Parts: sequence; structure tokens; C-alpha cells
Amino acid sequence: MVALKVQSLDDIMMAYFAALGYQDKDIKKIIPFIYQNYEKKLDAEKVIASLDDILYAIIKKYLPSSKQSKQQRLAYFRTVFLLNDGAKICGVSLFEKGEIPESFQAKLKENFVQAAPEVKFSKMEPQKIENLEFFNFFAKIFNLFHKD
Amino acid sequence: MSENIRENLINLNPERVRHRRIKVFGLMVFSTLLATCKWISSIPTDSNILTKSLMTLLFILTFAWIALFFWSSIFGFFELMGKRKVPGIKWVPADTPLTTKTAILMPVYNESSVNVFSNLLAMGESLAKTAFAKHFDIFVLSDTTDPKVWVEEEKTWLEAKSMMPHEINLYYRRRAKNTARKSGNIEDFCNKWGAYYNYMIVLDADSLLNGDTMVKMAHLMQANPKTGIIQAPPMCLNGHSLFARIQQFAGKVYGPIVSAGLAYWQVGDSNYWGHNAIIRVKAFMECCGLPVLKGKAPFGGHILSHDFVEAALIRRGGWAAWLLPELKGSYEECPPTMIDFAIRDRRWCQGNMQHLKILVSKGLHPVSRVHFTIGVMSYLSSPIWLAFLVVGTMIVLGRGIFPPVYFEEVRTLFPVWPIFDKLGTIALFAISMFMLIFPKFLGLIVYLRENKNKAKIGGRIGALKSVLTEIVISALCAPIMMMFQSKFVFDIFAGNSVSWNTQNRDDTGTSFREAVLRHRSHTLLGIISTIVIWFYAHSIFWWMLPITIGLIFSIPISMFTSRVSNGQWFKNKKFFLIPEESDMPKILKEAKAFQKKLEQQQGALKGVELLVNDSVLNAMHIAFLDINGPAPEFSRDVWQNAEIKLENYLNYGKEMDLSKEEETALLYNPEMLQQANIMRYLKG
Repeated sequence: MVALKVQSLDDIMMAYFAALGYQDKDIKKIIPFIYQNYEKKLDAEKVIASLDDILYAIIKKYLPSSKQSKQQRLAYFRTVFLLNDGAKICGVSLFEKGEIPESFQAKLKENFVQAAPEVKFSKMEPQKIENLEFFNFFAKIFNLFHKD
Repeated sequence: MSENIRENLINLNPERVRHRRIKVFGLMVFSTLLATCKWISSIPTDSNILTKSLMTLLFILTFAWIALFFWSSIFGFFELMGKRKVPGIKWVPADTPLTTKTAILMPVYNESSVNVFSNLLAMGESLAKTAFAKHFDIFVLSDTTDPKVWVEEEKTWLEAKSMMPHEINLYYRRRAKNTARKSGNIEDFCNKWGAYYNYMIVLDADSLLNGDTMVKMAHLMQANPKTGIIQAPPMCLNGHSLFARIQQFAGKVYGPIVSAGLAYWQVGDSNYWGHNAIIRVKAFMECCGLPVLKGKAPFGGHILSHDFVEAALIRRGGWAAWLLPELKGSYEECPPTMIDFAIRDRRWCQGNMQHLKILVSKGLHPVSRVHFTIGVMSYLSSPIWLAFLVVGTMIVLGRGIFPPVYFEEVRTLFPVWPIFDKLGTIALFAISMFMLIFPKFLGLIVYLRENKNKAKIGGRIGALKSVLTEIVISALCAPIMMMFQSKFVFDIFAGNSVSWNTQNRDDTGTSFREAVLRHRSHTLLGIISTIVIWFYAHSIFWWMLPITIGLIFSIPISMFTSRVSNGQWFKNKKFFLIPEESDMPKILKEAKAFQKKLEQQQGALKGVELLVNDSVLNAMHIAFLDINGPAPEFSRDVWQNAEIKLENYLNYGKEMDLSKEEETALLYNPEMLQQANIMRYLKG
């Protein structure tokens, strides 16, 4: 982890929500709410990971189904949230009520920032490339000059 | 030969196909035979048998090569004059419904992402104007290794996505490890997403294809279920330097008869050129898994020039492959300078030499073997030509130093005059020149006929003087390319492999320093051979001059042709004008407009620094990481240095100055990236 100048827990939380696009006045409402409801989940050593857990618990039901890891799904949410002015649309109620307006839910399902479709594995088998018998003799001579 | 190969895959009588091949190859063999007989009779009678045999062998190889392209072009000319389509493939009306899905694949490797995405946006726009856009998805398949380019690709993808017509999905995936280069990149796509698609159109970073051309290709695939590949011959476009403009002019004027000639005898057994082609995914997946060849590079290892091999394997698997000159609206860019051309040639040369191993493998269609031979000969012909010149010069030099013996040891009444058929040699030279140059004029006839608006091609005189000038310039460049290619071939046979470099597509021109570095040996060789020939083999001095002059002036020729200003000067004087220069194709205009838009959105921040300061890109980069595949391993030192530099940047505002490896390591660390981004919002 990156070592930073000593910061207070509040400062880091403020930065976390600011990075999500929230304004100061909203952040000032969100932080007390987090303390009040999620104090046990807040790990002072791993503040960002704790806040990610809290956020994920709220938003996971709105995310499109995917085999991706929690980290990737959260990152997907953050991308859509930032691109679509999520802080303004969802406001503080995202944390207070755990609700997302339908218009924003649609944005999440739209998969605008989907990098690629869900993988559907198949396998291309390497083909055999064998010399004609006649040329094996020449291949042997050739290989004398180009040993592996 | 497998049963699949015997099966008739096309709507054409096999007898007709055979007749076409007999005509082209029969004439090639016949003309080579005649010329060889004349050649044997022209060699000085007092030459020893070894010299005679060697000269004859080299002559046959060189002449047969010229003869094949001459006769192929002649048939191509008649096909074009008769406005005949390639027979055997079923064409369908443009409004036929599409019931299939096509993936458009753009494999990239450290390319300018602005150029790549602006081309794709233009193609997307063009597709949206057809009624079939929803049948196409676009994939950018990145093998990029430069971390700054990687981040730039993601950023440009996001911007391009918002500009792409909504019916078309624009996807992006980057491989963590670029195993087997482009072929591995395509194979990775097939393994992961191939199951969703019927066909794939494979592009190059500089490819442009009209929407209706892509739809036509998908229609053709749909209507010809035994077809595995359809290649649309790409036309060079957007060249500004003199070298690129000459190439694009040559491609425009001579390209059609060459393509039509190849299509004439190849019919449904054509080749694949690696891009601007549509491929049936099922056929490709069944037949084109490429093995790793036994032995070390350059002959062993991963197959470099995968396209020819894939075409041969798909044909071996019982699918037809077509080259269709009728498919217009397929474009690419030419290398801007002779040196860039040579760098690309070095890569292709190794790929083609590797085909020597595959050429003799089991089960291939005979025409596939011909494709491999043509590929190999396009490079081997240079050292053969060089050897021919060297041996010829040595014979004359030998004669200068050791004069002929007119009275042998056995006493005779009359002297033994060595007979040298000077007229015969001149005739052969004239015939060879005719076979090389005449098809160019046939191309000009077709070009003039096809372009009714003569003002767009600089008028009839403009076109004619361009062909004549192109002949002179290509004659000057030919010995330089011969030297380049001969060196490449010797290098490869000496076991030296080539590394994978991004192709230069910028019009920066060749600097004096670079020209000297690349051409000094050519210049030196030119000067030495001119002096030696002048003093010791004066009789061939004027004959050798076109070669020696090209070598002596290789530095200025290379620099002069690399300049955009010279390209522009010739353009103003109506040289090498093609209609697409005066009336730019719509797709290229749109690509340029998108390029401007995307360029405006490029900021000063790059790589990790951009991700630390841009929350959207930061989050998106992390969201995309698992699509890239598992992260590569980095040493402890790399991690530590990267971390310290990032901390100094965040805490003290110092410049990051990360090495490529350190930056890549950070890009693979989602926790660190997220944390660094959040810390940018700390107050105080």
C-alpha cells in the first residue's frame, strides 16, 4: 500500500466520497451516517477497503449479473456512477436508504462500459503440420545446420 | 491429398479451373524454356561447365519469377477489359437479409490509439448507413506493451464508444501476454468470443473498410456456405511522402491487373493477406489453430506470417478461399519511407522464409504450395538476382584479368575464338525489361478506361508521365531493396530472429543520420563496384550503371523520397495523382474528422499519472483488469521503486519518472491505483 502523510479517518472518508463525485455538503451527511450504522465495519487500518465493503453491500443487488470479482464489479459501478453523475442522481439516499433511482438502475444494466461480452470458451486445437515423407530427408540435412 | 481437397467447393467446373492454371503456368514454363535456351547459347563458349550451370540455374529462377507475373498480369488485363467477375462465387442482391453476426477485429500493438479508433468510428458510421449495422460488433484486440499506450487506448475507447452509432458494440480487450503475436491475438478472441459470431473481419491498425463492402462480404459468406475466407484487396491510401505516394499510385494503377491476374488462376484456392478479409469463424477454429514449429527462431517457434498458413490450412480443411478484386472500398496505408518499408519487409521476409518448412507439409492443396513458393521467392529472388549479377561480373572480371586462350596446348591451325552472343544477351535483357514494364502500361490502359474524369488523375499525360517516372524511380530503388532483402535472407539463414516492433506510420521523413546508418554499406558497395567495373570490366559498365547508380545514391534517394514536401511538389505538378487524392473517399474524410475530435480530447497526462488524476479512467481501468488475464510477475525491486515513486508523487508532488516495467506493475495493482486516486482528493 502507498504510505501517505498521516491523515485522519474523516479526511480519508471525505476523499473517498469526493472521488465518487460527492460534494462537501453531501459528504458531511454521509460520514455521520456511516459512523452511526457501520462503525463496526470500519477498519481504521484499511479504511478504503472497509468503505468499499459497505458500498458493495448496498449496490450489489443493482449490478448486472456477472462472473467478475467484487473488486471489478465495484470498479464497474464507480465508472458508471461517475460517468452518469451518480452522486447527483442518487444523492445521499444511496447510503441512507440503500436505494438507487430507476433511471440510474437502467444505466447500470445498460453495460455502456462493458469491455467485452461474457466469455464463452471454446478451444482451437493446434493443427498438425508434418513434412511429406519425401522431404524428411532434406529436413534432416537442413536441421544439421540449425540445431535446436 | 485429403478428400476435402478433391471436393469441388465452388460453382465452377473443375476443368475450367484447370484450364486457367494450365494457361498461366504453361505460358510461364514455355517462355522460361525459350529464354533459357537462348541464354545457354549466349553464355561465352569458353566458360567452364560449373559457371555455365550456375548462371543457367540463376537465370531460370529469375526469369520464371518475372514470367509468372507477366502472364498472370496479361490474363488479369483481359479479365478487367472484359469486365468479368471472378467465376464460381455466388453474388447476392445488396438488400438480401443478413441472418448472421460478424465481429470486426482490430488487433493493435502499441499503435496510435487516436488513429485506430478514428478509423473504427469511420467504419462504424459507414456501417450505420447500411441497414445491417446491428449485425456487426467491433473488437479492439490490444497486444500493447507500452503502459502509456495501454492507458491511452482505454481512454480513447471510452471516448470513441460515446461517438459510435448505438447499433454497434465497440469492445476492447488487452492481453497481458502477447503469445504468438497477431495470430495468437486472433486465436485468443476465437477461444473467448468466437462462439458468438459467424464471421470475423480481420483488420490491420491502418485498415479502412467501407460499410457496404463489409456488408457485401458478409452477404457473400452467407450465400457461399463452403467459403472459408474472402480477401478484399486493399488499396494504399493517405500517403503524403513521395515514397508513399509512388506506392499508392503503383497500387492503384498496376494493383488491379495483378489482383485480377491472381484471381484468374487461383479462383477458390486463393490466399489471405492477413487483413481486410472476412473469415468464417467455424472454419477458422476448426482448421487454423497454429502449431509451434519445431526448432528455434527464425525457422522454428511461433509462425510469424500466419496469414498464408491459415489460408492453406483452411483450404486443407475443405473450405474455399477467394481473392475478389470486385470488392472495392478496402484501404490501407503504405509505409511512408523506404526504410520503414524495409523494416516491414524484414519481418515479412522472416515469416516467408519460415514457410519453407510448411511448404512441404502433408495434405496441402497444390495451389497453397504455390502461394508459399511465391511468398518465399518474393524475398529469395533478391539474393538470386544479386548472385546472378555477382557471378556475371566475376566472369567478365576473370576475362579481364585472365584473357581467353586462343591457342590451346594442342597445336591447331586456327585460334579458338570464345563465342559470346552479344545480340542474344541484349535481346534477353530487352525481353526481361519488356516483361517487367509492359504490364505497367496495361495497368495504365485499364486505369485510363476506369477513370472517366481525367482531371482527377492529372489528365492522360499526367498519368503517362507518372508511370514513366515511377519506372525510373522504382528502377533506382530496386537495387537498394535487393541489397536490403538479400541481407535479410542471409541474416535469417544465419539464425538471427527479428523482434516485434511497431510499424512507423508517421510522415516524419528520414534524417541524414538514419539514412547514412541504413545505407552506408549500399553506397560503399556501389562506389567500389563502379570503380572495379570501370577499370577491369569496362564492357559491362553501362549495363551495370542502373544498379550501381541506385546504390551510390541510396542515401539521397532514401531521404528525398521520404519527404512529404517532395510528395506535395510532385502532387502540384500532377505526378502520381490518384482519384482518391483529389476526391477523398468519404470514409477517409470521416476518419480524419474523428481523428481531430479525438485529438482534441487528448490531455498532457499519460499512463499511471492519468489514472491517479482521473477517477473515471481509474475505475474503468480496474474494472477491465480481469479481462486482460492474469498479471505478469514483477520483481520486488520493481514493486518497491514503483511504490516509492508513487508516494513521492502523491505526498510531495515529485515527477513520477517510472520505468516501463514499474509503470506496468502499478497498472496491474488495483488497490494501489484506487488508493492513489482517492488520495488526490485529500484536503490540506
